[in-house]
Amino acid sequence: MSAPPIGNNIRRLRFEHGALTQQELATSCGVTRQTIIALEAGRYGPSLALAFRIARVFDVGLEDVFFWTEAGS
Amino acid sequence: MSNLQKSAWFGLSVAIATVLACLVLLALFGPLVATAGFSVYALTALMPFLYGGGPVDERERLVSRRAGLAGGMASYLWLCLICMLLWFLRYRDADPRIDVNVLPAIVAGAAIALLLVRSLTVLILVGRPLEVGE
Repeated sequence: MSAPPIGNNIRRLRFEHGALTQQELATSCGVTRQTIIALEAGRYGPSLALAFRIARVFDVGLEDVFFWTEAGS
Repeated sequence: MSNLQKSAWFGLSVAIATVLACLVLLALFGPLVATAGFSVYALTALMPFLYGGGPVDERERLVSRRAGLAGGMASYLWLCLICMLLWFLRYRDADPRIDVNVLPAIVAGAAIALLLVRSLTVLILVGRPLEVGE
């Protein structure tokens, strides 16, 4: 099982938004802290709905949070 | 540790305790009483009260669904293998019948396989890369 080819800037965005904790972000998005940890570690490729919820918490576009990491795909 | 992981550890403990109870009873009192060790399995009824009603977000739902599938497959595999094994052991006999007391043990084995594999799969998958729609 390889890591999903989706990178993200969640950790950076959390710190840019007043050092938001993983728990606070998780609560805002309706997921567990473990899911945020897995997202930041690149171990989880989220659903589109969760991706949009995270982007809305940071008030940025989807592609400012998530990006494709697989070269040539 | 999330409630899903805690419930998986609990399930794994109950599955191992059930197997041990059956083995101890088998050694002490023989095969008829050994099935009574399966009563330990009733502890799984406490899981919803101890660890909540189930997965709480999409990642946990994904892990839980895959673990349930793995558990179901293990249980099905157990039933197939044990039936084929019994057939293979007895089909050449002049009177190829099996004792009805074997049947509860087969069902108990399927339930233990389900719990054991489901719990192990949850514990493995929570630390592995996952992707929705994979």
